[in-house]
Parts: sequence; C-alpha cells; structure tokens
Amino acid sequence: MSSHRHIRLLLYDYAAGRLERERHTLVQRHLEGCAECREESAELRAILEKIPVGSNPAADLPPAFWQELLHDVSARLPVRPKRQILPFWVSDWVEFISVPRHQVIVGGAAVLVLCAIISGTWFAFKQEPAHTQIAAATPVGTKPPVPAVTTRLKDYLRRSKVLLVELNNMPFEEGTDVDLSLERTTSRALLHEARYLKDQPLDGRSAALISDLEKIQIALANSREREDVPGLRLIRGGIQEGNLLFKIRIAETMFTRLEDETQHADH
Amino acid sequence: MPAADERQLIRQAQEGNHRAYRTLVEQHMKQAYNVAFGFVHDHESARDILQEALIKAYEALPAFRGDAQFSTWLHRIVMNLSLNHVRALSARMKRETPGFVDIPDLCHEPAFLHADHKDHIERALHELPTLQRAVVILRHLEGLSTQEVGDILHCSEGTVKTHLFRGLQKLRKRLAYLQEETA
Repeated sequence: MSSHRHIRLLLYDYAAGRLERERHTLVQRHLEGCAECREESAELRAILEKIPVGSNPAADLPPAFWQELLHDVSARLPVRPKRQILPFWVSDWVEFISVPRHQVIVGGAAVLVLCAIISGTWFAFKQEPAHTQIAAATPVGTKPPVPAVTTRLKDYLRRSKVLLVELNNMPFEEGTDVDLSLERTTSRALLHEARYLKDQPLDGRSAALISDLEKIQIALANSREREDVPGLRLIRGGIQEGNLLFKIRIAETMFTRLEDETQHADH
Repeated sequence: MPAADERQLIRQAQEGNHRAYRTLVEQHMKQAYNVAFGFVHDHESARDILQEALIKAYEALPAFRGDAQFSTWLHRIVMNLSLNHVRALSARMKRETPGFVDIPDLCHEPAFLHADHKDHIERALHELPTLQRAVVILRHLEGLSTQEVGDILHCSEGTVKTHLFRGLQKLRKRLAYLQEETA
C-alpha cells in the first residue's frame, strides 16, 4: 500500500484529516519525496478550506416530515405472498451456501450425488419392465405427466432457458437503460404456459422449478420496457440465486435420459 | 445498528414484514435524502425521489443478497432515480424553453433555477458534470469511503479519486467566481 498510485488514493483523506496515524505517516513520508503528490495535496487542502466537508440538509427537516414520508411509503408497499417459514437450520444452510467458496464445495458434492442417483436410476431401469420406468422417476403419490404435457413442459423449459441465457449475456452500459421489451413479451407468454402446466399432474421437482421460473418471469413481465441497469442486475441476481439454469439443464437431461430409456425398452 | 440486527431486519423485510422494513429504512433515510437533495437541490423533488426509491427497494429486496451493504445498495437506487430526474428535467427545459442549450456532458439544471439561492457551494455543485457531481456528493459531502462510492457507481477507486479531484477543482474555481460576482 505504499506505491505512488495507492498513496494518491489516500491524498483526499489526508487533506481532510481523516486518516489514521499509521497511514497519515505513510502519506507524509511519501510527500517528502514526491513533488507531484505534494502539489496535489496542497491543492486539495486549499479546496477543502473553501468547501467544508459534510452537508446535511436532512437535519433541517422537522420530525413530522419523516413521519409523513414513512407513512406514505408504508401505504404504498405491496403485500408479499406469505412464504413458508423455514426452520433455523435451513436458514443457516442457505446462508452457508451463499458464500462462493462454499458453493464450490456444495456444487461438487451435488454433482457426485447426482451421478450416484443417475447411475442408480439407470440400473433400476435396466432391471424393471418398461411401463414402470416413468413412474419410478416421479415421487410417490404424484401421477406421471402425460406425453402431451411432457412435450409442453420441455418446450417451456427450453424457452425459459433461452430467455435466462439472453438476460445473463445481455450487454449494458452503466447509466443507460436496457431495452427489455422483447423479454417482457416472452415472459408474459411463458407465464400463461406456466399456469397451464401447474394445473397438470407434474412431479414435485418440475412443479418447484416452474414456480421458481415464474418468479423471474413475473419480475420481467412487470418490468419497464426500458429497465435501468440496477433493475437488470436484480433480475440476474434472482436467476443466479435460484441456480435456475443449472436446474433447467438437469431437468432436460433427466427428460432426455427417460426418453432414451423408454425407446430402448420399446425396441 | 449492529450488522447482525440489520441482517435480521432485512430477512424479515424480505419475508414481507413492513414494520421491519420501516425500522431498517429509518436508519438510512436521512443520508439517502441528502444524496437525493445533492442532485436535485429541491426538498420536494428529493422527497419524491426518496419515497420512490424506498418503494422500489422494498420491491427488489427479495433479490438483495447482501453482497454490498444495504446502505450502499439503497444509495445506488436513490442515485439512479436522482439522475433520471435531472435528465428528465433537463430534457423538459430543452423542450419548453426556446433557446435553452444544454452543455454536452454537463447535464445540469439551468442556473436561473437557483438565481435566488444563497448557498454558492450547492449552486456550483449543480454545474459539475454528472459523474463528478455524484462523486463529490457521495465522497465529500456524505463522507462515504472511496470503495463505497466505487461500489455505488460501479467504477474503480482510481476513477473515483480522479473524478473527486477534478470535481473539487472545478468547484473551487466556480465558487471563487460566484463569490467575486456577489462581491
């Protein structure tokens, strides 16, 4: 932290008297040998004498102003649909996997578990008659989707994947708005499809994935035609947080595998 | 407020608890108001911007992952809304005032809007280019660190430093001119 470049970053705080002792001494020593920084520091001091640090227009406002503001904000806050309250160990787990380093570990473990499940399922399929294979892939108590629904579900997932990839790769420039009109229209169409699919007999995993995708699609459908960059970042954050692309790929892989197995059994 | 308490409030607000959100907002609203006021220099507009920002922040809160501090995140929303407001005002002035010419890259309000204002600093501040103004408001007037300002503006600490220095230089020159003019 003692290079010329780094010292220059500290000059403002030095001139404003905001540096702690150690860094203050560091800057002072550098200034003794650097004419450029000395000049800049002197200029900053001259500026700060004219322009006092800090400005607090909020301090002049009466408490009633803030009360009224909070009241107006509260009145306009939307009511969120009740979310399932998670037990504390689930919250801790969610917090644990939100750390990128932990995600790598959990991701690796998930891949291993997935491989084990896939290979286990494959062996199970090999030993059972063809007509029980689809039922084996769905949780107990739910009916397997009929072929027409499966086709629509696959198409829905494919279109959702294209939409999410497009959003993730969308270039943007800071300070400018992003044109989301096309994504908005696509999301509205996908929401119709999601509502249809949710009324069909689906396995639990597919139903959960559709619900997760629906949240993103609702956010997009309600976005402005030209969304600002923070708005786009929020939507992207939601996609990444839910690992949605990964989940779609897994679902697609499972569908393909099931189809292959079914065809193989038919032959 | 301790960070753990704030995290707890954020979590509750994410679940839809309005009271938790209100408590959370009470901690940050004054500083956020100062940021908006720094841009628009008008109490009524600053109030509208802050109100809009607080509603927008609540709507977007479920996607808040805590990568940045809540205050930084809220400042970013306030700043974007403030910039939109300033741009819209500038465009309206161009449309409605014959002969009004906006200086490229300066994006400031016309000087006559502040003709009666006594505070030279705020007047001079409004004549800075947008990014320099943002940096001077956040770093110099609000006292945020270089890193926090960089996070809000999505730029490096070096860029913040450069804009701050240039902004303050211009501010000093403009201030000297306004003081001479008054004298």
